[in-house]
Amino acid sequence: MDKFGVGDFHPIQCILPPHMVDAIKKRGDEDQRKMAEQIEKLTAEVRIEREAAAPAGAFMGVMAMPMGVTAQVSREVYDGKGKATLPGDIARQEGDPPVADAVVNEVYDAAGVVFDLYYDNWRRNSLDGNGLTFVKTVHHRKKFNNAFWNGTQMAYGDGDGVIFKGFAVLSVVGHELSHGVVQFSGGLEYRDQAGALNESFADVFGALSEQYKHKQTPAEASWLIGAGILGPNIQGSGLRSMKAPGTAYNDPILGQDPQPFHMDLYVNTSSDNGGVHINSGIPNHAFYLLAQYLGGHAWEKAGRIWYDTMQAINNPFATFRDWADKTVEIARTVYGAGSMEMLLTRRAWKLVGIAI
Amino acid sequence: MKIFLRTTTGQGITFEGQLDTADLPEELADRMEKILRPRRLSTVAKAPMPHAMVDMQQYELTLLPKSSRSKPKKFQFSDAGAGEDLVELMDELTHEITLQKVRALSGG
Repeated sequence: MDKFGVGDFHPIQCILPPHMVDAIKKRGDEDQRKMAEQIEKLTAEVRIEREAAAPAGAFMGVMAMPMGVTAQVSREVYDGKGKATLPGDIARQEGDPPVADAVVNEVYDAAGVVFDLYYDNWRRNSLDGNGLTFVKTVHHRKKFNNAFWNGTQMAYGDGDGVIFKGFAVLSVVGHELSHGVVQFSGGLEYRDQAGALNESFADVFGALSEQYKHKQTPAEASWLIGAGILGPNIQGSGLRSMKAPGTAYNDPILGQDPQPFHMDLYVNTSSDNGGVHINSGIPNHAFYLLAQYLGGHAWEKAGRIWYDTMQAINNPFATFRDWADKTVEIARTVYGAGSMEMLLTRRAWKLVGIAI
Repeated sequence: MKIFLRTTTGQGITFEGQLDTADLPEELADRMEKILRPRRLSTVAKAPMPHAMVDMQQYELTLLPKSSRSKPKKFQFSDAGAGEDLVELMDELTHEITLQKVRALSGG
């Protein structure tokens, strides 16, 4: 049972992040305090249910492929032909030569890059660690300004031609596939801070997909998610900027990029599942800072810390602080207590307002 | 028929505006009248979102009253369980909101 599911849009249960519940308990009237206590009680019950269903260890990340054993990417790209039905008609599958439709080829190639990023660096054999086929639909619906992961496949719209030109670019493909990695690594609830961490992980590995393809250093990378997908008259450079959250776009039609880069600017909102695409700017910026500090290529050290954290966090309700604590712990485990990597991980979090 | 629609895309972008069937193409207006029935919207609003679905498009749709004696009816739902005809209508109505803004900005 999904007591906090966004499906029912309960006016209380799907809105309040934990720090707001605390604030209501401290400052609310009697009815509000009762409501906050009820939410806390339900949260605890849901967590107990989750843990009972999948005891400690069940949420742990997938095993890496042993050395000496090789894996092969498996891709299927479908043409949705403007319909909402999934997956559509097969357009290209693994080993097929390029087809006439450039969007099909773009998504096919991008999925190969994302597979390589995870496999080459962490020996992860696809999203589930067991060679799951990447199933992807392009030309999904008409004038559809979105791309999503539905638990089993990705789907990409062509955009409305005004705001968006389409979503079939590597950083977005890497983003959507990385939602699958989160799901198969134990998952993060898709609301409030856990949801923002889910979004941030997808952004981090979407950006790393671009960097891995072009072998870019952190200084050379754009750190943009969705660069090039905005319409020709839209004032902006992409969907989100990890380098400078809140600056990706500022346009009369699209509005202003609402992402914060610091906890002091954390946005409390009921929309967007509690601002999962908004507050993800905070962990996004922490990762960007760490990658800049560490130099080299971002997937080598910063990426490893984030990936290992996802495999070890074992908490679908993780807050930003939980995640930050775990990154520092991972950095200490991998690089040593007092290592530069550990100290700089702590420093990156401090600069976005999370002191560890 | 008048509605207020707020669409939040799966990338967190929000489009919102008021639409009146009197200002829309006849075919689209007819479909709005046919599909946006309170009973159906109530059912869709209760549909649970599959747990693993992320970046799903979401809607807040308000049916505005014809007279001051009636109350607006507000529904919140996502693509999950909405049905093909409803999600296609939502795409078109969201696009109409964008076109409204484009026309307003260009003085048209």
